[in-house]
Amino acid sequence: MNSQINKILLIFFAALMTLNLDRAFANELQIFAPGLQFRYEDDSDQSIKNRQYANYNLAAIIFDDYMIGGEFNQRAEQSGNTALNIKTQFQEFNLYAGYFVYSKLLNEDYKISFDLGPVGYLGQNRTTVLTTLGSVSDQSKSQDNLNYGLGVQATLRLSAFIIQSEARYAYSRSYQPSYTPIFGLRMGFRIGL
Amino acid sequence: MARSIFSRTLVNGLIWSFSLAFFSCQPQTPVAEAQGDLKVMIPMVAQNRGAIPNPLETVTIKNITSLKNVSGSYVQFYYTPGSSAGSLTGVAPQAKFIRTNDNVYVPSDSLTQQMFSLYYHVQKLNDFNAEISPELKQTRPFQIGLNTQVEGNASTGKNNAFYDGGSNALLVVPYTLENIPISVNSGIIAHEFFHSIFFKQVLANFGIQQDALLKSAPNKNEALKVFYFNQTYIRGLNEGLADYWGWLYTDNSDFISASLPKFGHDRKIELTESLIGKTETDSDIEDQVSQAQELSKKPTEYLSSYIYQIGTPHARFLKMLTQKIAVENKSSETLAKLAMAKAIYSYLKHLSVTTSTFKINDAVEVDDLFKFFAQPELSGMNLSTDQCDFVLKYINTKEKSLKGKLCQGTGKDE
Repeated sequence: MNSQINKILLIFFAALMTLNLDRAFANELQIFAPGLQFRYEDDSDQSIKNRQYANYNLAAIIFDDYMIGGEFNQRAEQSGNTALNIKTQFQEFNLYAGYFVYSKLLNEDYKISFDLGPVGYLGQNRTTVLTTLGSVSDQSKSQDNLNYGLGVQATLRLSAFIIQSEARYAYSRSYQPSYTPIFGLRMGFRIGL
Repeated sequence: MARSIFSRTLVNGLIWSFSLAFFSCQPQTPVAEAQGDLKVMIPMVAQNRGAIPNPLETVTIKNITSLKNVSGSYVQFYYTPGSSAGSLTGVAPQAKFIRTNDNVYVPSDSLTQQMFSLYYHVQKLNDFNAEISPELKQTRPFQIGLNTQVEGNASTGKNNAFYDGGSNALLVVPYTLENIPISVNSGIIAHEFFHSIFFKQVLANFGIQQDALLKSAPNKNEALKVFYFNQTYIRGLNEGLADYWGWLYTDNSDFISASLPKFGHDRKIELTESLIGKTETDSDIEDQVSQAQELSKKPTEYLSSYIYQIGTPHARFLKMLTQKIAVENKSSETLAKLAMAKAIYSYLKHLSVTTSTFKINDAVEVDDLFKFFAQPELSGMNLSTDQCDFVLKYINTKEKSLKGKLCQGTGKDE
């Protein structure tokens, strides 16, 4: 099943990147407020559950049609009761790079434009588990696990204001399932360089 | 134009590099797919561990076929299970954990912590079973249902665990108290595990046979009294032996309190001098049964609390005898426990044979276990004079049928 999805996505992304529409961007720095990220992960009863993560998109720098940036994703959970409980914190840092294959100026007066393009992600994640039993605690850290992914990012610019959404398919040996669909939504502003 | 070609090449190169990394490279095996003998961290709760201060311990769980479901040759888990044809049905719960740099798997939610704990303790209890007798060695994974939903029964629907003979499974229901969950309490796990032994050795046949005797009885009222008497005593004995098994495994006489403090005091396995020889008598049980029949339409449920009054003296007796054997025979407590466990296994077989010959209105003798230990020919145990004196305090030594069969005490209590 996974390999079929992989093939479909590969064809999709290959088709997307050949749509190289000629256009020019001004160089700019994009800064985002903390955003929302949703991951479809395995739940205790083998169903898939949508879990929310905090997404801190550090910055995206646009050079003409190209984009590079960094993001930090985080999720904290707690289970158990007062006598025996477990707190986990998942942290992930990714670098990403992309290219706008489609761009349209929707309104010149208000500088409203729309961009769409594939983005690749590469980074590492780690989970820290704090187990507390009465007055005794143990903190364990996972191995640092590589993660990578490919996705599509859509950006709507309203003058200096930005609304960005993304969909990606990412892999890490620590993910459950190891190939996880991820969706994101964030807002920010841009500064011309 | 030149820039466009350059851009296109650069972008294509970039995206193809990511594509190759993402789709073509062989990804590392997902952490969840670990197999074999694995090191996991569990809370060692209710275990008397002497001077070891950290109750969070790294242990090895063996023969894991899928760590994602924590399934292996010892245990198969089910989440909110149903049952059908003597087996649990439903999906396996999904475990969540991390792997540390030392290759230790640490649970990252409480459900997984329960699964790791249950797997480890059932594995240890099964290994102990194999030491008692090869006949007790399990041939297939022990079925455990987690987050089991029991409808319409407030007493068993939460903060409980029970062995269900019909589905041959240990069922754990949701724990809502703020103490140590039952499913990580090693003493309660051992207690429930013993019920599986008792069911296979005694209850499976005893239940069928008692039902058949009741159906064929000409005087239903009289037969019902005997039926409930036998059922109550056997249930009490089962609970007492299971509590003893909990102590046997944990070395903690108060393991119940860690999860169910309300019941801890009454079931604490500590025998004071004043309580030696004191157990529920025939007439005590008969009175309780009569009361249950008068006051309740479901006497079995009505007597659910009372059965511990029958069982706990048995557990306390067995613990004290174990300690006497360890001290007086100068053997380790581990060896004394193994000898006692073997004797109890023999007793279960003896009880099964005895009860299988029951006719209408035959009742179980409430000092049956004590008589067994007092007779070296039956128990296979050579008790010292002191040990024998202790056992004889629990039986009527004047009984004719015991003449010449009892162990040799000093005779001062006869």
